[in-house]
Amino acid sequence: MAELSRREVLMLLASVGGSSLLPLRAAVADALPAPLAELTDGLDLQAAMRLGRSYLKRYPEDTDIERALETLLRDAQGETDLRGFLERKVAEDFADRRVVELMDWQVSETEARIFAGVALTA
Amino acid sequence: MLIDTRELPPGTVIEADLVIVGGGIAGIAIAREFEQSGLDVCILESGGEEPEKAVQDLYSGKAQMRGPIGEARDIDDYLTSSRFRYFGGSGNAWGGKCVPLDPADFEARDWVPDSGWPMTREQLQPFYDRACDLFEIGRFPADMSANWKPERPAADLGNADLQSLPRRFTRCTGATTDGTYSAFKASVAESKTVRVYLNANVCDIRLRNDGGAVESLEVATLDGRRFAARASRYILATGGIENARLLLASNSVAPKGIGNGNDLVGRYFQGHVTLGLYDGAAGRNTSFFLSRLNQSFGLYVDGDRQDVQAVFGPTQAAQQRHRLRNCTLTPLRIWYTPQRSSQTIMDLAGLLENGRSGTVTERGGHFQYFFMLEQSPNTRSRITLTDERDPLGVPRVRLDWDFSNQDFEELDRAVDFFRRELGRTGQGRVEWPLPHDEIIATMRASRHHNGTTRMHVNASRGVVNPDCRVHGVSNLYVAGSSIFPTGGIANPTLTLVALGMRLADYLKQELRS
Repeated sequence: MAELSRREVLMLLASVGGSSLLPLRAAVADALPAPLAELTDGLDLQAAMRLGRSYLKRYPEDTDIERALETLLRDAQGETDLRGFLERKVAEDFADRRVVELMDWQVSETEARIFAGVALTA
Repeated sequence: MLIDTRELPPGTVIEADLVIVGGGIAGIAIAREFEQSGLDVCILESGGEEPEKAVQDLYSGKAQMRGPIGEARDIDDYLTSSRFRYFGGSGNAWGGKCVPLDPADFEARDWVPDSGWPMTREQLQPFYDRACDLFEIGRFPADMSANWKPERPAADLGNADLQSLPRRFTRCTGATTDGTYSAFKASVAESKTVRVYLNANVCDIRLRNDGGAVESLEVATLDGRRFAARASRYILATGGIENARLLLASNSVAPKGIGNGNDLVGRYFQGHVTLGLYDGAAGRNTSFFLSRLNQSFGLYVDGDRQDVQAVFGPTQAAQQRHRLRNCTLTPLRIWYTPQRSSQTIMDLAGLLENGRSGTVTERGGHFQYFFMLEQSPNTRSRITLTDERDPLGVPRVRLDWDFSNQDFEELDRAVDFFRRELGRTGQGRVEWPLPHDEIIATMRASRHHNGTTRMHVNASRGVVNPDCRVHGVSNLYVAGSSIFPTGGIANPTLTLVALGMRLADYLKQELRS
């Protein structure tokens, strides 16, 4: 995977976010490897944004969310299986107790930041 | 044979080798063991063959659940709704779920105060087998995690720390209509060697003047007749609350009550409660999502109560490693459409862990659940007597069902274990919307009453010894879940019947010698 700019990171996150941003999604999907394209299906963007806002409101200390997301995806450089990479990252979060409460669910920090990224993108 | 005590001539003294107080599952199961023994056994049952309001009202009293931050919930009706005072006892309404305690439940665990039974699961295994035979269910292996092969495959979460824990259902309960439980009761009601006295309320256990043995029982009927019962050995089998009540109320020789020299009778009450919220699409729910579910989950959620049902719990190794109390997560079939936020959390988890989102949940990967956690033995959680007396003159009970701060902290740790294990192994996510200050108000109490006459080798730490005999009283024994030092998570009936059979073996040998 080529180096991602901040804008590209946010576009990528928007693509994870769902179908209501179709033009953005389509553009990003064209540029994505196949595993990541799978992630663009099925998510409810509006709900993802609400979850992201809820996370940012509840955890305001995580203000540099964009930088955190860039770091996350920088770690993914060279990964051919981005989904697998994120899955491992999530599993590590749970193992290392990097977890947050979100709408009564416990999710990994990585998932929460993905939602936060969607919220910031929108 | 069945005898109506109200029809006995005045002054009758009921005599036997063994008197069992209480004609519920424990009392009947024990009496059956003496069928071919040549010993004379009788059961004194408070009720008749059918429930009667006046008899059931003998259970009335005061009850309250309390939490560590001052929460209190009056549950007076629990005393009458969780017990059934007529021939067959609470077995008349039992759900029939059978499962042995786990090996870890018997061990002294330094993270569970006052834990440790004076026996191992392995030592109790032959009696569990006999109890399963009585209930006409398959036997449970001693090592549930290593050798368990249920009739239907349990879901494999692929997680070494979480295991599938099957429970079996017996037809031998009053809740079924096929006559199995009636036949169970008839096995003593129609016996030629066991006499069952109905409407026979034991009001007082009279000790010898030196307090070292029971001399007789005072028996009363609600129409005002009084009798005595005498035997070589006596077993109290009146349930986890009433056993303590009778011991405490029998204070003419022992002022603090029988077996209560160390102020332990009635303490350590431990019940089982289920924790869950079920508000459907409009509100908060306890639910979980399995992202890799690729097999039928019917074993867990079909709930036909006829065969096997499975729940999830930590392995014994995981309990030790994480210093967890015993706990289980019981899945329930989902009945509502989740809110969009919940669905999106599940979708992202499904996308990341399985490459699929909505299709997974449509296939049934989303479940509700209730959570159960072993309650810590706690001296403040207790049965005491009130100043009010029932129509027979026996003081009514007060139940103070106390949950400690440690109980709630351990609940957090246990729920966190499930959440973390599912996430860590890429299996799913857990929704848990229950804050501490809502726990007492929302918990649902099972009809399981443990610990009030706890078993311990040392009289300073227990009411009965490992033979179920009341410390310091040579001929008085206790059966039922009141002798459990800790209650684990297992439904107690199979264990209390197994212990009853063990007690019967012991007494047969002792009485013959």
